[in-house]
Amino acid sequence: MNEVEILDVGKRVVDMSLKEGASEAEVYVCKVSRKSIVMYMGSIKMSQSVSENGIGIRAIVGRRVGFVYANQLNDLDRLISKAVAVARTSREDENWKGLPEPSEIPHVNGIYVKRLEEVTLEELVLKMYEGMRIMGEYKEIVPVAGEIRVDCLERAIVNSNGIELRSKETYSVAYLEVVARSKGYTTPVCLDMAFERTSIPNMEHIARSVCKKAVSCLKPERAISGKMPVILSPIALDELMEYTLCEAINAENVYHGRSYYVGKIGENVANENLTLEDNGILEGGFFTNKFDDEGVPHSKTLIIDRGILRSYIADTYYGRLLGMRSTGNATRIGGYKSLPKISPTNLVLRMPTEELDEIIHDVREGLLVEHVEGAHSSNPESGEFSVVAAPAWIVRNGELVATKRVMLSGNFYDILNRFELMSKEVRQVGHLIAGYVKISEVNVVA
Amino acid sequence: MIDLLEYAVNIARELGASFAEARGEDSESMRIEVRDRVTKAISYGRIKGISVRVLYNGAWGFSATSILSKDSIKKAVIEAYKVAKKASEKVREPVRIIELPSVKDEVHSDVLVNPADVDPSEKVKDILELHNIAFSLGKEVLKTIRTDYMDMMVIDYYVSSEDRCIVQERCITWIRSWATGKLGAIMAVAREELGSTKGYVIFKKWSQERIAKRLLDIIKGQLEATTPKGGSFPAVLGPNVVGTFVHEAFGHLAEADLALSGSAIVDKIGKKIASDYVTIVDDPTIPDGFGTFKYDHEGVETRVAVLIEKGVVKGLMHNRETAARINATPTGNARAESYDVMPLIRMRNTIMEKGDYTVDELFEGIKFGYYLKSFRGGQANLDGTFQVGIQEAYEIVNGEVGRPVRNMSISGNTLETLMKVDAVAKDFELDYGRCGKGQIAFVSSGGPHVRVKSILVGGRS
Repeated sequence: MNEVEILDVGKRVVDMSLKEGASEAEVYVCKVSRKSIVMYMGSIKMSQSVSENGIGIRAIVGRRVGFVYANQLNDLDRLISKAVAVARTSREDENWKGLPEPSEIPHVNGIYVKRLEEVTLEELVLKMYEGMRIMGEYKEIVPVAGEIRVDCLERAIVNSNGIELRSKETYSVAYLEVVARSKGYTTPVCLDMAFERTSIPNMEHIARSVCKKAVSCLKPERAISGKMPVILSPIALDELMEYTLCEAINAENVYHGRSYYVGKIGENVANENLTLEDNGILEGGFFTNKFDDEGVPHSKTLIIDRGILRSYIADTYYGRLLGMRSTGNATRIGGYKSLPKISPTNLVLRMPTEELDEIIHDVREGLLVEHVEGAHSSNPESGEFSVVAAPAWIVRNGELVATKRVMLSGNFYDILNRFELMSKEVRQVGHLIAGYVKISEVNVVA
Repeated sequence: MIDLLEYAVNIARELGASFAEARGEDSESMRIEVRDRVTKAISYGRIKGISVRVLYNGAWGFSATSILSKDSIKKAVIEAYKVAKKASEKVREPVRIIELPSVKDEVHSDVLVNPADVDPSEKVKDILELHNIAFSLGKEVLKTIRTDYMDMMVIDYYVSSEDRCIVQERCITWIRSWATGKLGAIMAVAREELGSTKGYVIFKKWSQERIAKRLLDIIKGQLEATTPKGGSFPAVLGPNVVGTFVHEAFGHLAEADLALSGSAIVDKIGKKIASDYVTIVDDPTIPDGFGTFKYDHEGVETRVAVLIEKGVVKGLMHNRETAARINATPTGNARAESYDVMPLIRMRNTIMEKGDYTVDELFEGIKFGYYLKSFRGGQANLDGTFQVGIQEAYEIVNGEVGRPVRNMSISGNTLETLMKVDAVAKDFELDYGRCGKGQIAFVSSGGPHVRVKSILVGGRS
């Protein structure tokens, strides 16, 4: 059972499920390999690799849906009969309108490279050493934590409507966290990270960037409170968006009335210079793929077009309930162990741009925020947030001055109207692809 | 399974590992989510896999696989070995571990009804009954109720290069219900979390009627409740609040990995930090506790970890590594959520030991204070401060339990609060919950009723 052809397993299980009494069936089969090196307080704390097969079966009997999973691809008879039994026990879902139908799959580049599939833990240790060596060059820096992770995922999705898809993908993520210490003062934890699909992140680069940031946090001055322009890093913006905007555009939340954007398609929801697109086929994007986790093609969805809300993101089930097509945003967060849920792919932010230096240069009195804490406490339905900004810098007559922790608060859906400018250099952080964004006015409490 | 684990350990030994252990898991689990009498989701899962951990020259390597062939296991061991070797080149503080004598053991679960043998439809029916009773008893006030149910039957296998070979069964059945009520403009939320290690006996232990009543009592109490006065007051803490406090506020500080990286008790061993009435232990032997087992995931015999005895810090909760680091006896606190992750130091059944007082005696002599009966949620910080929200609280007036109080929270410094304990009752209750530390662990906590001279009460109207 070594070299399993996962597509064959999928097809076989769909057939067996139908024979067992399911009226529809969907099978997700995967082979996963995860490798990770974890650094803690300057030592390598954990080096681990996991290779796993997995299968998740959605069996439908009439309008009753059952879900089972296993990490063994043998003994499938028993699993299939469980799936059908679970479906029969489940409630009749009057909204169930069937599994997705096959459609044309786009061609995308840059989602897999053999080199990453074959990378060894030892190579990753050496990469971590590179980062640690750079951190060692800065006398004020104390390494706190870090990780390099490489995943290779081979997945197949087969359903009884004729979807038969297979793909192989590689992913690599790395982050480093440090503090700087000098004269009895310790800076807040500074973080930098990188998301790649076809190479291992450059650890020297991450280490240098995070160390420079931390050192520049030393000698803090007191910020002043008030409403002022705030420049958010893509990391800070991604955190704020995850618990607000990403919830509001999710068709499941829209259908259940839990989204701020219910009934707002066609309305002005952001500054007219702001465009946001969910692009699941963007070359080099971390969440780029040919198809989503229920076999629907990935696509480009214009969410906000020059300030106007154009679309939500959906899977097949909630798309139908809202009278729209699936946008190819079904994701199994827990892999084979979970059912598909709606999640963004790559959220590309477009705005007028300038060099970051120039943006900073033009601010007389403001704040630059690298990272926020407590974004998860935001209220996704209203958009209200109150977060600690750390590290952050005062922008005073175009110059950066370190400051201690300050609070930022406001309503995320409101401040979208005040997104003014973005830096020319953009990067991917989580789902977001953006640069530093200048917001004309945010409430700051020092 | 055991032969595959032995095969893995032998390869590691031949490669030159100073220590190697292999773990296997074979588990079945079911989850059910019911909201307002509607079954939202049912899922069933079956997991089987092996992991191997190798120590070479003071560094760990870890590798796991679900592919149970000799080839794949050999590959995993070599990978773990190679990376340990690489990582050992730059180790600041080489890992040392406690090694143990050879043992062969099989531990069977004392499960009364194997949840895997119960048809899912029966479980759904039982949960729906809870919802039906709750809606019929709480007609006027109950708005929504959500119940999450989970059961799992696990066989853990362990083989180490010390010639230890252990097979251990364990079973967890867990249920949590959230209910919200409303009366006029007032909202109330109640939560109840229960469990057993004896299989599908959860509704025999607590009938649906008892759970529903409990949720509604809390809701009704909150709806007619007054709001707390802010400030410091004497308080009687119920077993559920004591358990939460002991776990969240104190327990995490006494997990050796956190303690040794600088928690508030790192330099307090042997010192008095609590009043004479306070004895806190993490006890893996309490019948039907979520944290009751004979061996941990490092194959170590579990033993009672005495954390505080009569006010004095006695020890910490250890894994093999931290015990070796400070020359302590390993306590068997290493637990892994599943086969594919490394074990971490986790609590088991963390409790405050009983005292001599009757519960009534605790209330005597309190002119005005609060009775904090059950908690909603809370957090504790490594610096030794805590905030705990209370879902069921009452005023104490002239030694008697008085009006219910809502939106109440307590906060303060854990060690200062432990110093203020001035009476401990002789009753005892155990609670069931889940604790997150990167991985989820099923834990119990509990204790008797306890009186505190003063505790900082907050709240909002």
